[in-house]
Amino acid sequence: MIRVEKITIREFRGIRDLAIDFRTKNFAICGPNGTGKSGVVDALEFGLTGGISRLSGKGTKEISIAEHAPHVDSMKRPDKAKVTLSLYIPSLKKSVQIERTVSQRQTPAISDKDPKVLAILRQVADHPEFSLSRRELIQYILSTPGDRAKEVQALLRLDAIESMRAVLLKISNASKRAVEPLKKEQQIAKDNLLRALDITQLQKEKTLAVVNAKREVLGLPPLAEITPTTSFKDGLAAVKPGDAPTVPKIQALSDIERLKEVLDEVNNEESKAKCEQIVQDLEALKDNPHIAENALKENLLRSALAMVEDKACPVCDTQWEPEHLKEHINGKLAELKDTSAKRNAIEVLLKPHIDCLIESRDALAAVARYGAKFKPPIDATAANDFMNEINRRIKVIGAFVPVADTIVVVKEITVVPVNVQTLIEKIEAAISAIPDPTKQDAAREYLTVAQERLDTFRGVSRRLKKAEEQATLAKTAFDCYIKVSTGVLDGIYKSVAKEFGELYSYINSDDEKEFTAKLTPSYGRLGFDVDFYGRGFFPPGAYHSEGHQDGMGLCLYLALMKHLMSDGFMFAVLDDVLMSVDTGHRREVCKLLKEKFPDTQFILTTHDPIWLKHMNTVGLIAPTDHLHFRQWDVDHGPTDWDSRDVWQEIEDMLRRNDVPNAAGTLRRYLEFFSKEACHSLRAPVVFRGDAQYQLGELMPAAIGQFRKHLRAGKAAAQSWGNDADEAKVSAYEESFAKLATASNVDQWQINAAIHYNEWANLKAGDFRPVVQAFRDLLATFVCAKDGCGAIYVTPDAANLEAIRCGCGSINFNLKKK
Amino acid sequence: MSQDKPAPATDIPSQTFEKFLLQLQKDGISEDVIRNLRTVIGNGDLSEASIRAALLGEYEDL
Repeated sequence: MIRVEKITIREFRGIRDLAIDFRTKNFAICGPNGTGKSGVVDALEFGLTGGISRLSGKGTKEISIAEHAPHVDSMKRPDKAKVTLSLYIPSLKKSVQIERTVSQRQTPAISDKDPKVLAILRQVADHPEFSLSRRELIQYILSTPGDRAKEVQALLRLDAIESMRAVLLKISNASKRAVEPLKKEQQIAKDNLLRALDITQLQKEKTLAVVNAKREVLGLPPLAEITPTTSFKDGLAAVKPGDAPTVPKIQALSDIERLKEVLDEVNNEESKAKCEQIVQDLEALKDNPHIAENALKENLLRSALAMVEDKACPVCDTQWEPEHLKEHINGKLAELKDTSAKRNAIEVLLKPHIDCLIESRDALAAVARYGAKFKPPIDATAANDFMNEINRRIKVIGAFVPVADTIVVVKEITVVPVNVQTLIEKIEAAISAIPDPTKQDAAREYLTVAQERLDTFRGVSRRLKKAEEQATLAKTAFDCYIKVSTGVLDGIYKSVAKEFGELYSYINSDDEKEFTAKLTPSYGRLGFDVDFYGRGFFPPGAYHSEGHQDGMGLCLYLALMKHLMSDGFMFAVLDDVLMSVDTGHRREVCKLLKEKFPDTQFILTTHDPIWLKHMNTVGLIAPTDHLHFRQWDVDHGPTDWDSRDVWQEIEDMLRRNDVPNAAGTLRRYLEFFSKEACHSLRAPVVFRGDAQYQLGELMPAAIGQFRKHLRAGKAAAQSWGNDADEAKVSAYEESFAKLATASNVDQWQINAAIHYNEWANLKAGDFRPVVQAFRDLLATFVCAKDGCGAIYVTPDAANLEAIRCGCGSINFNLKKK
Repeated sequence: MSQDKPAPATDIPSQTFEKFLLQLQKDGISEDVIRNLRTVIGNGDLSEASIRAALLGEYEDL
């Protein structure tokens, strides 16, 4: 898509004013923590997308780009916080400039309005994943399968696949849940219809026989068939409006009979005996606080389980995949298995009693309605109170705890209040007192009630059928989607896993050449297992070291990006991503980036100068394509050794008579410079495991090695009889010796600590000559030609051949005849 | 390393949805349902309400 030519950053994050020329090449920024490296990364992301990942996402609730992207001194001036990028678009062979301020971050100024250019810039803005930090990298490796699926799917733009899966699952579950209550409703409607028809089975022949017998009494033609629109009372005169509601005596007495039967089931001797046994079981639990507490927990967990639908915990709104949350809750429930087993056993015994209570409540409601049809109506307060009491009993038993309350309810579960029995007798007496209907009236009532109940049954049956069809369709769609999407995801992940394995084994070819990995998608999860030295597949965090995990994170990222963008993967920012990788493997990582991604421009940051050296020596970055930040302060932002005139800076300090700061700056610069010189000249330095080399070890080593090379150069020229070269080398050697003496640096070998610590105690006037002596000395390590750079030896390994500079102005042969 | 150059993955969700609709057709799901689903998915509307309406129809007052 794009490569970055230049960036200019003003008043943005910790940066006041910084320009970097990337030249569309790989580039490295090195510096200790807190020197502004990530500010450049943020600026790149902001310039290209308008966003800053570090200021969004988890843990950044109080932070906003509008308020916190500008430099802290420009918080109120977001218009001053500006990033300007010069980009090159290879596919269009065009350069374009994009300028974005924090105040207008969604509407950058773009120098070229060509729709093709704008389309590419939009595409880049949609891919903030070109920038990767170690925090982001490691979450691909060490996160849970659910989180990993989210991260990887988000990166691969597969989130929509997962969203659709979640939606279809939700619809399927909801459709399935809707069926069960309708089945119960249909069963009740059917029982009521059978009672009205006075038959025991809902068969067509039997129904036609009883209905036609009643129709014959009324002189109505028999029904030949029962279809979905058949009416039992077809041809029967309709009830006139204004007619008082009548009580169908025969049906009402049948319903009262049924109520009595149900109430008998509630309070017969067998039922009482069973309840006594349940009470004993409950008493055994009552005094165990552990069980009571667990039962409460179980209630909470069961309620939570029933409420899990969305991608969040119903209690605390933490984000979860529904399946994972259900699994988690079921795991918690499993921990309560002892309590659950005892409770479940008692609940099984209680269920028939609860069913009986529900049935008696509904039957009592029907009978009470008959009472309301009399003039004056029969007071049904006792029935209503008892129905409320039944509801209360059901609720207490359902809650189970406090167990003492459940015991009280079970003890009285068989009790039917006397006033209810009296009411039932009163209604029954009133109904019995109704004159027996004539045969015709009885037939009319029969057909009317039966038709009412048939209509109810048909209605609920239609709803049940519809619900079942919907449940089947929703399940079919979900199953079909899972099959299709799993196939697609399997294909993608197999390809990514293969690519990942190849990249990882490339950087670990010394000991994991046969390395392979598996990415396994399943229902919103993405399992990730890697081979551990042929011993089997394990999660990456199980046996591999942190350094290996860092390497895996980078390789997985590269494999995903390659899959996502294919040839469009032209630009990536790797922000201190490989801090745990050991030295040997760093070279391999550099080689991997250079050789396997030759068309991708990498901007790399690191706090480790050794890492920078590896990038240089492997050729991932050209010798000049890096910045070395030395320090940062809030007034100036990051400063680097190469681009700022350190000598002018020291002189400014001395003018202010700030000798301690001038001395400190000179010391840090000498440390930096001598480290570079040791590297360029292949100077031997006493090895330090912590790489914390002191100036007293570095500078004498660099000077000694330079002298040695100059001596070797002179000897080589003599051996070839090359007088001109000998003279040149001798002159250089002589000049260098004088400058080294002037700096007094040789004495450091005697006491490395003294001299530069004492500098801080000097007067400005006394310190200036010291500064000048080092300035002159250091100049001899660098080619005098503008922009050429440090003098170095070649090759950088094996036998030395020459000491030279980049432009060739200095080139002394080191090989004797 | 594999020499294959995989196609950009950015349109994989829409390819997946199209495969899903074709599979539904093979499974005998009605053309109306498939047309409705294609419309809402094509509009980028993957909300539960829209997918439910497209798949199961509006709730009917029975």
